[in-house]
Formats: sequence, structure tokens, C-alpha cells
Amino acid sequence: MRNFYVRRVLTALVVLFIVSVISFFIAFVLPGDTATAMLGEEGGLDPERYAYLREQLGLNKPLVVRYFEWVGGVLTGDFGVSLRTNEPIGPALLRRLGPTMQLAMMAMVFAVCVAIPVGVVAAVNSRTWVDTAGTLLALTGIAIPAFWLGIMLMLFFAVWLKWLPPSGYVPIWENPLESIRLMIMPAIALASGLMGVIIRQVRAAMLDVLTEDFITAARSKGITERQVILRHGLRNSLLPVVTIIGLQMGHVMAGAAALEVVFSIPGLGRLAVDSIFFRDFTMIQAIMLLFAFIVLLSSFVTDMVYARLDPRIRYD
Amino acid sequence: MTDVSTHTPHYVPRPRTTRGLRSPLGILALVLVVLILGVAIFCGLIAPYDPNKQDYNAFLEGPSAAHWLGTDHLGRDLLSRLMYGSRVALMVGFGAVGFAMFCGVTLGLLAGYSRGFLDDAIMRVVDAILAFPSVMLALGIMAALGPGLSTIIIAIGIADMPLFARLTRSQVLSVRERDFVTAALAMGARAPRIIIRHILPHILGPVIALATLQVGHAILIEAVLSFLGLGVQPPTASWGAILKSGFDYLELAPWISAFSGLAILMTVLGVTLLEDALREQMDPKSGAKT
Repeated sequence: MRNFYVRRVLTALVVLFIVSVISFFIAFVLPGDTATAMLGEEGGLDPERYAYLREQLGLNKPLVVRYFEWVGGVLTGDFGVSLRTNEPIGPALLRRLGPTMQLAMMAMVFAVCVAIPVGVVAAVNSRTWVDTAGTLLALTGIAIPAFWLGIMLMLFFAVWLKWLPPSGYVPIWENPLESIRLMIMPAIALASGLMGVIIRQVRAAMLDVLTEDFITAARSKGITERQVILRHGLRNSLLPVVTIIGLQMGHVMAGAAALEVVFSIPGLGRLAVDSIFFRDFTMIQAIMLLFAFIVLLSSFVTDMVYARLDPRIRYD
Repeated sequence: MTDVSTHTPHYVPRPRTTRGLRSPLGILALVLVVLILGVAIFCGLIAPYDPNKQDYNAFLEGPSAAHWLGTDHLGRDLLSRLMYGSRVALMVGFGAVGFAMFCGVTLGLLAGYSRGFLDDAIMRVVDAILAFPSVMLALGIMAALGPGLSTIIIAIGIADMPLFARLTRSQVLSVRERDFVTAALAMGARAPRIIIRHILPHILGPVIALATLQVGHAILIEAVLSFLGLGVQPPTASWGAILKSGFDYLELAPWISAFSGLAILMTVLGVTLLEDALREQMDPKSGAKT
């Protein structure tokens, strides 16, 4: 049993190492060179300043040395400085993490609140038009471009009906109500895909569980069908849902990028997009690493929780 | 399959016709997919205008008899642009998934068949690529390679490849234990022959189902990248790029955003429904028997 945890940690570390290599080297495939990018068009013509800057940035050292210097910095929380704004990257990332987290959390709440009832109802009415409608809703959620749904919500509820402010961001601790009002539309849009995935998962898990013997036993005890479904069926179908939420966390946060652009939310995704336009290599490296880290961490935690809850996993 | 259905089960709970390709959703899937394929193939014949021709008397005009879906800020016919956009979407969808499938299946076969160190090495790299959310990875690769149609295909292909590698590997692990593989080994067949002739045909079903689903996913990512300005560059009519220009004129000309998004939705929904129906059809447990 301890073996399982040790192996899981070791694999995670190996994967994390490869992830850091990919994040670091992707910036070096980028066209152009950091020093040229920093000096701009005119500055690049001055060979002396160019050489000085290359020396300053450590660009003359071999790539492998620079990789280990970078990783060493990251491990101590030092991501270097942004080439665009010259500010330290760590605090900048932290500041941008808040809005993205809030958006992702709200989206998850919306997704779960809609998807679980729909999934249960679809499974209970399996192979009727209700089930078909549930499947159609789930697949539409998966197929719809989230940023387009966001734009359409903005058009209806902000531009035409004027019920909600069109775009912007207020930190939740400054003005909680306004902060949530601003995030409702992007969060609903972001929730669509996750909602689709959870509906399908709940439906499939419920269909599976409802054929189990203990459901028949529960029914034969004479308790109401409603109790059979909620107390015995749903409870046993929720574990896979927890897994899905854990595994999707990082992807939902990354999927927010286009929505952050549409709704002018200063989140990580928008920072990534801006950094690419400004060739801010150091920032791109850090953001890619951060996203992969979030994905790995959430799947690691999910695995651990799952193994605790379901001992069968540990012996595989 | 036919002689299975002649055995009438003792107890039939309900007529099982609501899933699979003949279900209402399966038919909807086929209609949508055929429609989009038809438009992409024949848009040269059926599009009312040249997608890049500007009408100087009709900037940002709403839907009318002359321009069914209206015009954009340069006076170009939206319907024609969306029709030509289907070609870009399908090229990216099929191109990226083809690339991902080829690389992923190859790696998955190698990993699953060899096991041992090579398996571990391949799968850790696959895990690492999978750790990057596909939008972020595609964004990063696009930034590295520069915008354009072929780089977008490669970027999305790389981001999608790990899924195929994982699926293939898990399928290979179960198929390689089957008797016909042992028999082929006993007859002296070498690894390449066993992999290509005996294992590959058995794992193609699930791989094709995944590929169908990923075509939709690839089209969605292309739309995001083009919307962000990092994908297919103007004046090429790409749905994401059209949506981006429509977003700039959201209040003046909401139909541009609305219709271009609908085009994306219809296409991706079509392939997503198709995958669902195909899977129901192939998986006997979920009962698509008629």
C-alpha cells in the first residue's frame, strides 16, 4: 500500500521534470532572440548594447546551464523578471491567479448544480425523450465554443437587456456583489463544457449503479423510489464526478483564456495571450509551467483521495 | 451481429431504438456532418459571392435578400465567408487529428508492445504533454512556430497526440494477451508483423471513435486561436477570425458574431453527436441492437 504512494510520487516527479524541460525549451524555438526583443527595432542596431544585454541576461551560457539556473530559481520561488514590464514574474503570476481561480470556481459550481440533476433525471428516464434531451444538452455543452457563448450572453444580458455589466473585473474582497455580477456571464460560458462532461458521467454512473443488487435490496425494503435514487443511487455515483472535477480543474482554468479576453478579466490566460504578442519569453515559460503544475497537482490529489476512498485502486 | 439479434431475450425492458446511428440524435449527427461536408466540398459552386469580394455599398449590413446573413465591416458577404470557412475548419480538424492519430498510435503501439523501459519513457513524455492544457500548449507552440494554417495543424496535433498514445497503449496491453497473438508468435511471426497485421486491426474501433471526437475538439481550439489572433491570418475566411472581427462590431452588427459561432457549434455538435452514436453502435453493452 505504501508502495502505491511512493510510486505515484516518483512518477509525478519524473513527469514534472519533463514538463519543466518542455516549458523551458519552448521559448527557445520562438523566433527572434530575447535581447533583440528587449531592445526593440532601433536598439537592436547598436551591437555594443546588444552584446551587453546578452551578457546581462546570461544568453551566452550554454542552454543546459541556463535550464538548471532557471529550475534552481523556480524551486526557490524566483521565476526571473518579465521582459515586457521588468517586474518579478512570481508576484505577477500570483496577482493574475486570483481572477482566473474565481472564474474557474464559479464555473465549477454552475456546472455541478446543473449537471447532477440533469444526469440523474436522464438516467432514471433512460431511453425516453428526456434522456435524449439530456444527452443533447450535454453534447451541446461540449461542442459550444465557450467564448462564443460568452459573447452571446454579453449581447443579450448586457447590451440588449442591460441586466448585467458587460465586462470588467473587481476583486471579490473589494466589492463581492459587483465582483460576482461581473463574473456571472463568463462563468456560465466557461461552465458549459464541464457541465456536458459531468452530465454524461453522472448518467453513465447512475445507469451502472441502478442495476446493482443493493438497489434491488433497497427497493425491496419498500422505501420510496425517490430515496432509492438519491440515497442509494446518487451517493454511489458521485465518486467519478469528484474525479472528473479534479482532473478538469487545470483545463477549465486554461479554457478561460479567451473568455478573459472577451470580458476584460486580468487573469492568467489573458496574461499568456498578451505575453505571446509581446514575445515575453520568460513570462510564457512561467505560465506554461504553472498551468502544467496545476494540472499535475490536481490529478495527483485526486488520485490520492480516490485511493483513500477506494482501496481496490491501491492494489492494481 | 445478425444471429445475435435472432435470439429473443426473455425479458425486453423497452424497445431499444433510442440510441446509436438510427436514433434521433444519430440522424441529426448524420444530417449535420453531411451538410458541413457538402458545403466544404461544393462551396465554390453554391456560395453566392466570392468570399473576399468587397461590396462598397454594403458595409455591416444586416441579413437581406441580397446578403442572406448580412455583410461584414469590409462589405464581404458573410454567408459566402462562412461557407469557405468550413474548408479551413475541416482542414484543421482532419489535419490535426490525422497528425495526432499517426504519431499517437505509433507511440502507443511501441509502448504497449515493448513494455519495459521504452514503455515507461514514452508514457512519461506523453503524461508530460498531457499535463499542459491543450489550449495553453497550442498557444505556446503557435507562439514558437508563428501563425499560419500548417503550424496550427501541427500545434493542435501535438496537443492531441497523447490521448491517442494512451488509448492505443491500453488497447494493445489487452489485445497482446489474446490467443491469436500467442498463436502468431508461436508460428514465428516477428514483432512488426504481429503489431501491424494482428494487433492494429483490433484496436482501430476505439481509435476511430476518439478521432471523431477530437476533430470537433481541434475545430474548437482552432476557433479559439484564430479568435485570439494567433491562428489563421486574415483575409483567409476562418470562423474564429470572422468571430473576432464580428466581436469588434458586436453592437453594430451582432449577426456576424452570432452566425459565425453557430457555424462552429453546428459542425462540432455534428461530430460530437456522431462519435456518441458510433460508440453506442459499437458497444454491445449499451444496447444499440435493433
